[in-house]
Amino acid sequence: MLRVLVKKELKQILLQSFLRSRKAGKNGKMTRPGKGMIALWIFLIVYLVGFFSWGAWMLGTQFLPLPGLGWLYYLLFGAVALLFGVLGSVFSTYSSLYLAKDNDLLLSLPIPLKDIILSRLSGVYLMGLFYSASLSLPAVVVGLIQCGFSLSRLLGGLLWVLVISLVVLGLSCLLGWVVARVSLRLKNKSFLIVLFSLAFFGLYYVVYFRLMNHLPELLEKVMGYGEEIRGTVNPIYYFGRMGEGDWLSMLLWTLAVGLFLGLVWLLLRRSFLSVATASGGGKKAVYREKAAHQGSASAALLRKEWYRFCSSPSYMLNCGLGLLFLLGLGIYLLIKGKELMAMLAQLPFFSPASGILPVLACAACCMMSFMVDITAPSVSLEGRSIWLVQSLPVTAWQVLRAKLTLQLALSTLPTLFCGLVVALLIPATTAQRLLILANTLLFMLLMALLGLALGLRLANLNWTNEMIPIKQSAAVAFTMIGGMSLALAMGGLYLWFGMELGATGWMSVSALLLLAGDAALLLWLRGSGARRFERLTV
Amino acid sequence: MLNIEHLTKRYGDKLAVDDLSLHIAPGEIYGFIGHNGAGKTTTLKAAVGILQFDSGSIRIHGRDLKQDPIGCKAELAYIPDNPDLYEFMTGIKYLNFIADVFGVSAEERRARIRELADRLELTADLAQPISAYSHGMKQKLAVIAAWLHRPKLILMDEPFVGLDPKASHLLKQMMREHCDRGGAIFFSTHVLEVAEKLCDKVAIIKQGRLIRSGTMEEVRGDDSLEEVFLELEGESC
Repeated sequence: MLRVLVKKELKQILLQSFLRSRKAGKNGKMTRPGKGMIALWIFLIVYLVGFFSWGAWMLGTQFLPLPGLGWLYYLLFGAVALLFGVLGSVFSTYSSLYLAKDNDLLLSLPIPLKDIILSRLSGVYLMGLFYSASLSLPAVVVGLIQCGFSLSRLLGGLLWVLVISLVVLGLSCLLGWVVARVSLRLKNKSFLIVLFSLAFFGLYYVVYFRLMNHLPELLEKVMGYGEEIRGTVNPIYYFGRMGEGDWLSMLLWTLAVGLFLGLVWLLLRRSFLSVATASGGGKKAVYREKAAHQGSASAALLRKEWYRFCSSPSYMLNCGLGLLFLLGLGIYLLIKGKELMAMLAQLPFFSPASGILPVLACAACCMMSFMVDITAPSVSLEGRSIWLVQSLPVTAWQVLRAKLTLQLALSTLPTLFCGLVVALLIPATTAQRLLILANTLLFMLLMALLGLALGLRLANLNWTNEMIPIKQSAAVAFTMIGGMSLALAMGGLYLWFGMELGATGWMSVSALLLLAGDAALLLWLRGSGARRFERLTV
Repeated sequence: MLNIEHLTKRYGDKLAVDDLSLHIAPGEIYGFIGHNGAGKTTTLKAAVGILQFDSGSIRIHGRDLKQDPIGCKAELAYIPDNPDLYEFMTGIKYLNFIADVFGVSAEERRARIRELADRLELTADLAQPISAYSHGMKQKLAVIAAWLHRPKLILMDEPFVGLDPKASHLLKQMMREHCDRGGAIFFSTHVLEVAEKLCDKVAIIKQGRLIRSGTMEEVRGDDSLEEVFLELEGESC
């Protein structure tokens, strides 16, 4: 039974990431992935793994050749993999575990409860593994190449990958459980869940970065006092040594993770049924008639999108996190900006003559923007209720425009704030300052349009868990990877060949290209995109 | 009110609706019956404008659906077989959303919501999120939303499924009242007794083809509707 359930869960995640809803008139439930789609996914994976392999290679050349410091390489990369894995799966655990639409169906069948929980966990684990192994696996390969192959190193490396993914799973489950307990006691819980998750995530970041800050000190101590000091940081040391294939470390970490997961399992097993079947906490809201106000159809559609966004903590956290990053960067630069500029002024690389700083600052703002992808899952999130907007006297473009407007309404102020702080802070000409602002805003618009266009092209209305369109869909993955690539290209290509144009010339060209991209996407959305929306069917 | 001429719809190689023509006049309750997969839902969805069809034409209150889809949709309301509404809204927010889209004034919507929700005994639950509603409550909300903007034509797919006996009775009353005011209703059902008692006209569809239609008397003659239906379906009574 467990095998069947796990197969169903994994098939759902893997296949629904590829599948698209058919257009009306086409036979079959869903459109199977074409060669182009598979090629895009392969590109995405190769891109991610290649990027992290490069990072592992650079870090490896620093630490692996030094005698007795190989463990530090695994520790550093493992910590980043852990962070990436937690970021990737933690916000989806609550929905995946407790809010799946087929929970009631499965619970009504003669299936042992543990099998249902384990099958749900397989989905959560797969997500965590995908994110963490994108970093940890290349690190193991790099370690084997740079230090030479040995069986213990291979086994230790693979166990290290597994341990990281299991710790990610345990942490995600813990947060999912806490969120579930909190949500049972609250009425309007979406915002509180978001706040709580952000607080947890913030705490995780604080602990993580404090640990990272102490690493140079640790490194110094390790180099100075050797084995004596290692004893004071045993678990961390053993974590790194596990990657090197140290048998004792492998055994200790396997036992520790086993114990941790055992406790998490007990917690989940005891609470799953009551949480998954809970009908909501608090008193029943009583309706009291209030004065109604008439609004336009467009305003009603925008309000609908807003309600949708606010109803789902997963949607807010996964697709709106970039808004906080934009604000965070702006506030950080407002406080620490002058110090940072003084520090950068010491480096010849950032000399005003090179024009690198304005371009990189502009690219950094865009890097924050690419994490806002509210439009990307918005079409798929219509789900089985798509008949509603299709049967109402509104045009498809009105519906799409409402989705677009929501993202723009939410991201314009944070983007403008971040862009303004950056533009005013860095040493640049007036034209460059204006171009930083223009590029940042045009990039923000491009992200909203690109997300909506990909959301339409890769729409999937048949999902059993909202996490599938929000986090695991091709539309979201390609929107984010597309945005990240564009932002990286904006900064990277300038260093490669854009310097001949100068910062002003380069940013003018990029602004024009972004404008052209925005216009092309807008035209497509108003024409073919709107027609495609009219024909979408479950 | 609703004129369907030579409607044809294919799903790949499968002919779902084959050259179907139907005419529904103001004041008529028109029942649509057929076995599962006969093409009822496809016809209804095509008439609502949410499913593209291959050939034929559909006119609503004189307007061509393909030429003027927005104008047509403004005249009608649709209740699907499964009321998949916006679960992230409360009942009242959903009704206000529908009222805004159809341009129902604040005064009118308040009076109508009060009247319809009281009648269907849903008033107390309007502040609840739709996700907390039972199937029957969602169906009631869908009915209120359909009646809210006083459409000329109402299309319903299995509207009685999930409703309790009292709500079913009320819905039948509301359907009759709507048609008495000059509106029209086209609905599919598997409950032949309901169709027999409620409908002015009925159409029987089999494998996408209309095999019989007309007034109740014309269709059933001296037999019951069930007998006629089973006979037409090729089964012995």
